[in-house]
Amino acid sequence: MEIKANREDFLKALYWAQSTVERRNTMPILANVLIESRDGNIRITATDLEIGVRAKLEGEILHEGMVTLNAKKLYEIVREATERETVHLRRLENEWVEIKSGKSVFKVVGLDAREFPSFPDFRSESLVSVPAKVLKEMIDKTAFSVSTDESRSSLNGVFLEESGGGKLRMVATDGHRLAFIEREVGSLRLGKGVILPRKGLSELGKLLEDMEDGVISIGFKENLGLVVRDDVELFMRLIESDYPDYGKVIPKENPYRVSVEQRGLLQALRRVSILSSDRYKGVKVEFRQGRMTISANNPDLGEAMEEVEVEYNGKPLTIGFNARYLLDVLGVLNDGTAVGVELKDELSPSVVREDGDDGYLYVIMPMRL
Amino acid sequence: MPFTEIVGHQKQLEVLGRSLEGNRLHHAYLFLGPDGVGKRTVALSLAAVIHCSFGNHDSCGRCETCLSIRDGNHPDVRVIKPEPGKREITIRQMRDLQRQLEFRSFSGKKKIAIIDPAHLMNIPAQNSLLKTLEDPPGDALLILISNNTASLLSTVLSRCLRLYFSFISVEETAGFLEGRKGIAPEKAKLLAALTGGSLGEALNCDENKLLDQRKRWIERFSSLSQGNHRGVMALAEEMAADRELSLQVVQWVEGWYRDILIHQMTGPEGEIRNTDMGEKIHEAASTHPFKHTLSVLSWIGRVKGELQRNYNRRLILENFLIKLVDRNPCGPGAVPT
Repeated sequence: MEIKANREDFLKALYWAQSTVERRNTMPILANVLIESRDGNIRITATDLEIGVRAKLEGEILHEGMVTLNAKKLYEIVREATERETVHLRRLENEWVEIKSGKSVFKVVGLDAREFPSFPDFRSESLVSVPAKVLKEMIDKTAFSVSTDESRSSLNGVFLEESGGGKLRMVATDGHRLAFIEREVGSLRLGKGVILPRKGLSELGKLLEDMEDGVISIGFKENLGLVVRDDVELFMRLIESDYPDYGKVIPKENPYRVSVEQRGLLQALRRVSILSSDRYKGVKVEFRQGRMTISANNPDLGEAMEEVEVEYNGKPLTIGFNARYLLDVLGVLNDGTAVGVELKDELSPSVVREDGDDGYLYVIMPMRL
Repeated sequence: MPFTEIVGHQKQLEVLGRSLEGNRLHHAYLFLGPDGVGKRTVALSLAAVIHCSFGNHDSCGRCETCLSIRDGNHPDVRVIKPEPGKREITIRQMRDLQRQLEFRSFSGKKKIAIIDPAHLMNIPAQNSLLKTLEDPPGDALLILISNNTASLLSTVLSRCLRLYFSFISVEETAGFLEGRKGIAPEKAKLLAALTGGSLGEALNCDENKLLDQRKRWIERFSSLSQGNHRGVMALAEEMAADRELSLQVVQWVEGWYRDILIHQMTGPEGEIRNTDMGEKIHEAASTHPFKHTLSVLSWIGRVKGELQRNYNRRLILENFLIKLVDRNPCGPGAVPT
C-alpha cells in the first residue's frame, strides 16, 4: 500500500484516531491505528474495544492495501512535519512502513493489519438521520448524571429508548439524582432500550460539537451503536445489563410547586455552597411564602445564607440538598428561564423542570442535614 | 487450533464438544492438570470453535478469527496472565476484566476470558472475581487454568466446573514427536518418557540439558549425606542464583522421587521417567523409607509454589534441603550403614 496526503488533512484524521487509542495496552495491536486504502478511500481506524473511530483521509492512493502503525508515533511524525508538506506513506516488506515528508524519512515497524479488530459492518439502511443539535442537547442534559461507581455497571451509561410516536428518551441516574429527557427525532428502529457507555457519549459529544443545523446518522445493532458524521464514524459497544425501572422513582404527585428564575438561583447556590462541606456540598433550603432561603453551615469555616425571591404558595418546608446536584442541572438549563421545583416533604424526592419544556425533568433526592 | 489437531485429552474434548452441541456450556470452567499438557491450547481451541464462522462443530484454524485468537488479538477472547515483570495477577487486572465484560460482545458471540495461570491470582484478585465467576454478565465464559487447587480460594473452586487434564501418555507424545516433528523414534521415546507426558515441555526442551544436566543434578542431590550441612548450603546457594534453574532442578528432583515412589509401589515394571537411571532408582527405592518419599514430594509441591513467588530462594532451598538430609537418617538415595 502506498498513499500521499497533505499534513493538515492527515492531522485532522489522526486527531480522532489517536484520542481513542488504548492507553493501557492489554492487546499490543490496539496501540496502533489501521490505515486502509481501498475503493478510492483512505481510512484511519483506531479502537480500544470500548469505542472505535474511523476517519476518512483526503489523499492520493498510489497502491491499495493496509498497514498498522503505532498511533502516538505516527501522530508525532505527522505533527512535526513542515506545514503544508505532503506526507508519503509506503508499505515495505515484513510490516515495515516508510514515511517521507520533505527531506525526512522514517522507517517504522507495524503489526499484521489483518489482526486489527474489524470495524463493525453496518448497512447504510440501518442508519437513521437525527438532527445533531437535538442529540447534543439530549446528551448534555443527561450525561452529567451518569454514575461513576464501577460496581453498578448498568448505571455507567445513558439509557436510550423509544417511547413511541417518533420520540426518543434518554435517562441517566447515579442513584441520588436522575435526568430524563424526551425529544421528537423520528424512529431509530430500536427494539429494546440500550445503554450507551460514558466514554462513547463523551466522544459522541465531541463529534457533535459545532454542528449547528447539521444531521448525524445513527444506528444500532444487538451489541453496538454506530454514529456517522460526514467523514468520521464512531462505534461504541453497549453495556450489557438491564436498566433499572426508572419510572418508579419519578414522583407523580408532588403537591407544592416553586417557580424561580434560573440564573438567580444558580448564582445564589454557587455563593452559598462555598461554605458547605467539600464532600457532600449540603445546603439547607427553606421554602416560605414568596421566598426561599438557602443556607450552608460548616463548623470548620462558618456559615452562609442567601434569600431568593420565588413564587410559592405551599406550606413552609425545609429540605436539605446536595448543592452540586442542583448546580449541575441549573447549569444545563437555558439561561434566564423560569425553573419549577416540585416538592412534597423533607424526605421525598423533588423534581426540577424548565418552564415550557415538558420533555425534561430532573429528580433529586433530599439530604438529611 | 482445531479440536482434531490436539494431541491427547480426547475425553475432555468430548465433554466440551457435547456441551457445545447441546448449548449447555457452563459459564466458568477450571482446567486442572499438570503444566505443559495443553490446557491453554484446549481453552483457546474452545474459544476458536465458538467464534470461528467457517468450521462446523470445530474451528478451521485458518481464518482471520482463528488466527487472531491464536495470536491473542481477538477482541472477545482475552488471556489474562501476570503483567510483564510481575509474578502475580492483581486485582487491578481483574477489575479491568470485569469492566470489559460489562460491554456487550464485539462480534456478537460469546465473550471469553482465560485466566492462565489462575493460581497466580493473589487473594484480593480472587476475591474480586467471585461475583463475576458466579454470574458473569451476558453470556461470558470464564476459563481458569491451574496446576493445583491449593492456591485457589475454596470460594473460587466451588464456583467453577472442574475439568481434569492428565499427562498425555508416553506413546501419544512419542507418536506426535515422531510423526509431526520428525524426531527419530528412539529419541522420541526417551524425550516423551523424561518429560512425562507434557507435550509443551517435550517440544521446547533442550535435549542436552535434559539428558546431561538432569543426571548431574540428581546425582548431586542423591549424594548428600546426613548432616552434610556445608554441602546443603553450597548446593542451595548455587541453585538460588537463578530462578529458572532452581525451578528446573526442583522439578527434576520431583521426577526422581516420583520414580522412587512408583518403584516402591509397583516394583521395577512401573512407568518410570528417568529410564536412563533405572538401576539407581532401584537402589534408592529399596533403601528409602516410603514415608520419607511421600513427605519429600509434598515438600517439593510447596517449594515449587514458593519459588514462583517473590520469596528468598536461597532460604527456601536451604530449608528444604536440610529437611531432606535430616529427616532421613540415610540421606536421600544413600545406602544405610
